[in-house]
Amino acid sequence: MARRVGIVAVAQTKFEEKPGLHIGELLYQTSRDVMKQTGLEFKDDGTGIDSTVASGYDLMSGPGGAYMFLGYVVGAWQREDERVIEDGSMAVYYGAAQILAGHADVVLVVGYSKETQINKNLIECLSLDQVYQRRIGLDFVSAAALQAMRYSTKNGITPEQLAKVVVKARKNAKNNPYAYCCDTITVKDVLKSTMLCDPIRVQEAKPTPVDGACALILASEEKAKKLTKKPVWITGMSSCYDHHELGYRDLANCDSLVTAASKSYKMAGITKPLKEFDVAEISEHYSYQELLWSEGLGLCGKGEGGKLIDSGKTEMGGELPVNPSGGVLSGIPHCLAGMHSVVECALQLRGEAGDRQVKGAKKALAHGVDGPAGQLHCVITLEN
Amino acid sequence: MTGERIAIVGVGQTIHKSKRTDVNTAEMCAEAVEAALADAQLTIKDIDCVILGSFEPADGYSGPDKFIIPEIGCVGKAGFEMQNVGTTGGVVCATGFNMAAAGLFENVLCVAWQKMDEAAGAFGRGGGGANEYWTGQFPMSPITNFARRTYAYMTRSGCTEEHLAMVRVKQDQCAQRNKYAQLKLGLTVEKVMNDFLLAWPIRRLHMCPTTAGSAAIIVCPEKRAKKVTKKPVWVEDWFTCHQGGALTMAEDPTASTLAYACQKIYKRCGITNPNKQIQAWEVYEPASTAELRWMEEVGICEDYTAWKLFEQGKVGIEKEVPFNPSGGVTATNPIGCTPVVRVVEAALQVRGDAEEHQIPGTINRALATAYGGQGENVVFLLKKSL
Amino acid sequence: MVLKKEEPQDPSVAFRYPRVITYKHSLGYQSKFAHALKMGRIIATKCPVDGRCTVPPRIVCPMHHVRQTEWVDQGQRGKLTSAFKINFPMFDSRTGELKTWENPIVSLELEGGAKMDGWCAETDTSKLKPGMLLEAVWRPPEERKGRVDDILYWKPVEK
Repeated sequence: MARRVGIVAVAQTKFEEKPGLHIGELLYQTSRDVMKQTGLEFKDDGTGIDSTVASGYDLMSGPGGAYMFLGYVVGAWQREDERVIEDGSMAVYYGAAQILAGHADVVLVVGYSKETQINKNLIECLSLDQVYQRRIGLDFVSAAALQAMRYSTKNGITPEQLAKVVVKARKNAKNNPYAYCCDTITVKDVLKSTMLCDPIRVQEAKPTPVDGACALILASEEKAKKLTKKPVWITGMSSCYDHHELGYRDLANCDSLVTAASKSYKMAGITKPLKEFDVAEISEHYSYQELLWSEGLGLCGKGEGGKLIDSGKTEMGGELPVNPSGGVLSGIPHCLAGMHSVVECALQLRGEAGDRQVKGAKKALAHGVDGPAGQLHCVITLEN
Repeated sequence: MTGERIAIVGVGQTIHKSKRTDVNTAEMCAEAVEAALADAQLTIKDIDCVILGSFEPADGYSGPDKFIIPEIGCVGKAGFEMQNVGTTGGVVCATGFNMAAAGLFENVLCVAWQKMDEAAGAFGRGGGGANEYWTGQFPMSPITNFARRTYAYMTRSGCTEEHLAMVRVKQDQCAQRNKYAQLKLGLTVEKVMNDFLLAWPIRRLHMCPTTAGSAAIIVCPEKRAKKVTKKPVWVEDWFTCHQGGALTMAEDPTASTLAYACQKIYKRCGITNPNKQIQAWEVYEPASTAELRWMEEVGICEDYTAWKLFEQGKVGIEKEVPFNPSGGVTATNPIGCTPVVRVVEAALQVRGDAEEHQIPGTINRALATAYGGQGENVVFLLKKSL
Repeated sequence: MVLKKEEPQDPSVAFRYPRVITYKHSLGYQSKFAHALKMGRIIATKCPVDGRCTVPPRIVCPMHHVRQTEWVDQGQRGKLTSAFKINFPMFDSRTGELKTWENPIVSLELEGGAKMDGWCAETDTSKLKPGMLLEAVWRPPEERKGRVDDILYWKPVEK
């Protein structure tokens, strides 16, 4: 990338059920946090924040332009304020594109979600095509289950290997003060838990309902260097769509992730992801996804996701710690996972990740996913 | 601006109708995409990024990009979906412009659609967008919003219902010359003034219809644009100006960010005399009466005097003020897609390709806008040559 | 906005798909306002910069982006700013039914300066002139839910 975009401040709320809080208050807390860190406000003359990008599904907040009634909370009065109806990583992608386009120099990226106010499965399933897949009662959970079954069967992934992903996630979450679920859990506990949607068990799916918000401030290179001593540079970013109908693709593959990852790596000059990255935050909504997305990201060979988790390379202290924050399996609300990945990677590269810090982290990999069985992926690479 | 300069190399839209029961949503988008590709003489293989959008709740969808992408041939391409109620199409175009200007892609496809024959608009609460707790308890909708706006305009300007009817007749005359427009009714001032009253002073004919339609544009950075087409339409500037729910209709029935947004891009682009420097206007007016106020906000005339221009017969395709030569939104309104239709029409005017509703003379600059919510706008300035 | 729906008769052309989505919105800081409505009072947040009161309350002033923590009672009366009557059947979002609307919706400026909408008892819009004084007529206390329609109607004040 010819010009660089830097992350100058990040913030997140504690992820938990907050039924008594108005959704605008979540947005206010987190946006105020980043704005206080940088001392920036929305300004007309290019000396403050120029625009804001939000992520979130409209129907999650209430029908008909719900976000439109909250833009004022961040101070976007008569300002550029646009919303990406995808996972939060794509809002970061778009915010960075605005800066590369020269259209804005400083962008506030926000994501906020209240799963306690709505049954998110109902909203997610409206993303499925109405003629065939919705009519058989398919939703994102069942689509993931189909993919988990195909992936495990084709590659001989055992239930124990899948359970290890959850154990690792919850163990890592203990070091993360923002995480929702950080209970001590063993492989046996995971395998004993109730079956949610065969073969996915309740403990293997992301906990829900959870409420929370994240925010980041992105800036052009010159401004980033002035705004913070520790800018985190976005070196590569890309998204890619896959087929929609589940029968159209082999669910044991994640071709769109491979494409998105290879484009991002090319932009960033990465050839050996497992060796070159120091930390990775992958959006795994269900346990099998950590293994499958690791393959797509090139962290291991095709079909070797099970061997990867067994090898311990992705544990804290391993060659490439994956999800030191506990990841989505520790409870991240709808549409926030990808943005949370970027926030956590930025904290790692700034050396501000507290007990979950990977020492001396220089390059990080963030990932977001949306759509049934990982139809749309977004990969963002960062370095300090 | 430090990014790439960009141009629109191809535009396409469907023939807008009130019902398209002959196609499903994805097919309708595919029609617009194919039209845009044919216009640019490109194939879908050339496209490397696709930005989509639609006012989903009005159709009863959420995240429909997932199943529309494969139908328009965009599997394996980068992109995502945008939404912002009424200004959705505007945000889709702005996003596409940003992605192209960022130098990340060579051919960006922006597509928006709306298929309003599929849901009774209940999800969108009549499309007015509302704060569920408060104003959502009332049967508010764009009809009532514009009833209030027009009432405020009439009391401040002294114009009469007859002037409002003149605006509607002008739009109909323009729409009759646009093969893509939906409503072509052969209206007279008398017919409009005697039409069914929805909420005074808005009559049924004043409001935009429900439409099923789709539109697409293809945007390229400078070097690529010059290779693809001999008539690129340069995108000089764009600005999204949302007020984010700051004001309800009760607090300010004239709330609108259009004047502010136009002043901002005029300043950035050196426009000091809009009437002379801009030759084509495609401004989003959800009710025909809104044209009066928008003409003033974009700088064509002094505040609260636009109705005099209609009285003097100065507004029309071949007249002094060629405002909404396509017939505007009152003739065609697939909500999420309408701003893209405005950009398409503005681009056609700049190229001289608008056929029967082409404004005569050289069109050096065209202004296109998007409107949504309670006075939110996105404005675009298109240019013939760099 | 759609007044009439015609559906194709052939089910292979189109099919119906009813969906009910229930939201449980949290009021958060707005619950103070909702509680006041139940008590028969309208309170609004006030911007510390320009003194503008907003109903319903906002966390921050949209124009000046400062936290609004001061609450001001808006009184029981307001001046009419505009009135309109809906002449066509429209969905009642409280119940989901399609119905006709006899009473006009009025916008008023309350005694405390905040502006809001409400229903009006006077059904003849020609009698409603801007500047007229209107008074709130509340539901009986046991029927109030902390919502805008706890104020049943605004009634012109008799001189």
